[in-house]
Formats: sequence, structure tokens, C-alpha cells
Amino acid sequence: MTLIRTCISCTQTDDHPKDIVDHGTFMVVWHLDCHVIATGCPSCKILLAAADGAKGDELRVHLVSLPPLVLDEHGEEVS
Amino acid sequence: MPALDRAEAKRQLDASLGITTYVAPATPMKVGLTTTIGTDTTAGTAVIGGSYSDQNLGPAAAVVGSPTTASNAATISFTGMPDTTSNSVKAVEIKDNAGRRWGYGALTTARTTASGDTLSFAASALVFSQQ
Repeated sequence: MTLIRTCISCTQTDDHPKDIVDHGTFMVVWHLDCHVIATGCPSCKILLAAADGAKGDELRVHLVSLPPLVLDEHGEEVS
Repeated sequence: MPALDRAEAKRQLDASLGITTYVAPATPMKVGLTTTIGTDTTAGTAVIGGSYSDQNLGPAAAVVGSPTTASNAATISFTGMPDTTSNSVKAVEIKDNAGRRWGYGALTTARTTASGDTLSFAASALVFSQQ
């Protein structure tokens, strides 16, 4: 089953990979690129840096093939 | 939200009553996602798949109140999540960097991810409390 969600920023509804942000009592869903543009989200920025413009299924394949990413409190990658 | 692991509760109680010296956790503290809710003695079932890995908790200092609370100081992001449509993320596990369990807690609302999603917790979304 493919999840169809709506990006809060561009309002497009699709099955592209999203950043699902849990605020405790509610959640907000972003396309990764929309999240970078709107807020500068550091984790989305890192994920997209090597994606070479991929979208949708191509981006999904790229994301799950990445090595595990551990981020510090500033959203910087922990080496 | 989270409840203390029973062994951690004993460590804290004994230390605060002057019976033993508290052995501090190995930092950084880690947070993991689970598809079942743990108990006071047993961890929940960890999320596996994708490029998921546990993340640093980055807790802020506790704030005195009723109850006294502490929370994550900044956004925590779990990247490369697996498809959890048939087994949603229901809880978190807190442990130290050496794997010593601190506690667990159910999410207010279970979250479902598609393969490749990031699941993030905004600052102060994970709240730990003690009376």
C-alpha cells in the first residue's frame, strides 16, 4: 500500500517521500524539498544533497539506500 | 509521557536516598522507535528496515512544575524510515549510548510512514515527567 499525503507547503497530494513532523498533539507533512525551502530543515537538506534532483520513487530508492544517518541537536550529521 | 524502566527507577531511588552512588548514563542519550509499547521491564519491538537508526535525544534541562518535566530541546529526525503501514510506530524507547534502558512511552497518536519518509519530533514533542 502506498501512502498518499498532502504537503502543507505546496498542497500537492502524492506518494512522494515526506518529512512527517510530530508536534505531540498534531502532525505536519512536508515534501522534503518544500521543507528545506520553507524552514531550512537540516535533515531534509542533507537527504537531498546527494539525491541529484530525484523525485518520487527514484528519490525513495535513493533515501532507503543511504547509510543510517545520526543527527546532533543542530541537525548536523554525527560522524 | 515515558515511564521509567524498573531498574532505572531503582538506581534513581537508591541514589536519591543516599544508599548507593548513581552511575550516570553514557551520553549521548538515545531515542528509538518501536511498533509495540514497552513495559516497565521489557523494551518495545524496535522499528527495523530502510536506513532507520536510533537518534540522539538531546534533552533540555528539566523544568520544575507539577509535574516536573523535561523534553527534547530540538527536532529529532529519523530518516530513511521503512514502510510502517501495517505496523505503525506506537512508542519510543529511551536508552543511554551503551544501551542501558532509561524508559519508554507511547506516542499520543501512532504514526505511519511510507518507505523513505522521515519521521521527526519537533522540539518539546517528547515530554518526560516526574511528580
